[in-house]
Amino acid sequence: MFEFGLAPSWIRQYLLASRGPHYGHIQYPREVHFSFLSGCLNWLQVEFGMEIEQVRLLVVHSPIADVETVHRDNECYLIHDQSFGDILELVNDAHFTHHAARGSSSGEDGVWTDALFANRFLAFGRGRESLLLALAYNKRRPDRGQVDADTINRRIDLRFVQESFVLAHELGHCHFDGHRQVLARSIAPDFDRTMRRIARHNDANRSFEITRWRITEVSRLMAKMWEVGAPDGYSASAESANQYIQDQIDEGHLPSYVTKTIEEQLDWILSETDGIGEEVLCDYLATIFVAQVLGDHFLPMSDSFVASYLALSHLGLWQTAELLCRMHFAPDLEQATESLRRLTEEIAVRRRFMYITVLALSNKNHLQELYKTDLDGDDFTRAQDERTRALMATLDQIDKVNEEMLAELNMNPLVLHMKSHMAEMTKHQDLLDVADGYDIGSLVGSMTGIGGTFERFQQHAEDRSEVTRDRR
Amino acid sequence: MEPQINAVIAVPLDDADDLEELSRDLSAHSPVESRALDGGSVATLLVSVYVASLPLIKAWLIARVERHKESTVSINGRRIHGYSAEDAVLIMNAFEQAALSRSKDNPEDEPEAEEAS
Repeated sequence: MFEFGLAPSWIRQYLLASRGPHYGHIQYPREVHFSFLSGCLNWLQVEFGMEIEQVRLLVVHSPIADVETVHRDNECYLIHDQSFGDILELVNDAHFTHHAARGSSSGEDGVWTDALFANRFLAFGRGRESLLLALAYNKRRPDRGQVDADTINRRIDLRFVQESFVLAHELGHCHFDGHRQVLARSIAPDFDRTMRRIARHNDANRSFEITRWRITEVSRLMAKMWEVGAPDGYSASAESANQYIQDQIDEGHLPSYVTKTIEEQLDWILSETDGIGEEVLCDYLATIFVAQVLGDHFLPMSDSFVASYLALSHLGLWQTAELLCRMHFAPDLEQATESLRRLTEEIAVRRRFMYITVLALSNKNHLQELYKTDLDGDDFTRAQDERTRALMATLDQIDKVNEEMLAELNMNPLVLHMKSHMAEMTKHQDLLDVADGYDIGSLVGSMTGIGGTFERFQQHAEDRSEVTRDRR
Repeated sequence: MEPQINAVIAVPLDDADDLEELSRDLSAHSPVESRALDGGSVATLLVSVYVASLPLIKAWLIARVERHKESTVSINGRRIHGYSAEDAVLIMNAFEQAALSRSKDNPEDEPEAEEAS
């Protein structure tokens, strides 16, 4: 199933160019990822009789922190950057700080967004902007004081589960069978079986309300974009942007599937040949992989489901930061508005179906029986016992905190007023020299902790590798 | 011997033909498809070029900018998204910096090979 050995020289050159000369400095044993991926492929073989031989995993560690998939000939290379786990840890920390503040100010005013944006600007090759943000983060970064070993271990476990979710999601995008198939598409009938009756049941009974169409957030962002010029008849305010979206929907220019019933959305996901539908299927597959392969060994399984949902919420923030960064350099109003609309819809639909997936699969009996019997709406209703209601409350709380964090991301003052900050920076030649230098990645990494050094992982990760190896 | 510079050049999948053309000009392998975590797929070309080939890349970049086409170039872990003439200048500066650095450091500075599974 796996080919161990040296990666071909072209992929080494690819990594050298795309990640920089230090990409090979792995921070903790890569075995933990290999074990997980091996478990996923093994599960596919046992459950579906699928022999996937063309997937190769490359674990790197760089300040860029991007996870990507490269297809060449019949092979699929998953490039997992361990620094992406640093981003997950950063956002986890901010999430739990928000959660602890329970609606009142955490007192940290979105300082985490400086680190995330520093990373994204770095990935875009904008060393000056990245340095500005990293310096700001370094100056205000929260001091969590002494953290006990148990807490550290729990955080690392959470990180590993979330990294596994991201890795499994990317595995779902891999082509196999001579490039004719995307892996996640092959489980579409199973996804349909699991979701169809739940969707119908929900549409008929409105047994739980999971509207995730955050129109106010989009409006706020659009208003910000329109500061450089709004479309005719509109102005740079959230109210005006809101009106714009409504007008577009009314005139049929925005056939928003977010407003459809869940079953209609399901049909759309299953019929779409790529794009958002594929993302939803990859999320579904990744959630199953995390539960089946990791089981209770990193976190209790119910916590693993929550961790996966949290990871998906974080991905939404990461994607928003990515888009805001991209918009900064490509101020094409029409294209930016379309990208923003599409991203918002993607996040909304993915979270909606992830919510249902987590609720459906979190019942252990359902998980065990998933591939033997159909899950129907009545089963789902019965499953809404106290434990399920507590889970729903947790997911709702995650959504609430995520919304607060999204607002902080959208309103990062340095990014909002980047032009004037950059003009100020040009007066400091020493800063410009540093920002334009080759080591800017390492410097930003050490200031933000994204792509930094984490010796504390070593022993813990080795112990956990043993656990996942034993499960195979 | 003159050192080579490794770079990754990426364009939207719809523009893959543009990249094919560049790969022919540079005698490079055909582009591959890569997919980022945000779901965006791009056509990607890995090139190892001598300084003498840089004018070819420059001309290709300028042609892209003139047609308002986006390109992304990564060199030594520095990824620059090119939309404008200023971006094209940034990219060419990065190539020149890399060439200078390779001349100083000697080309044998690749890290150890990665394990793959």
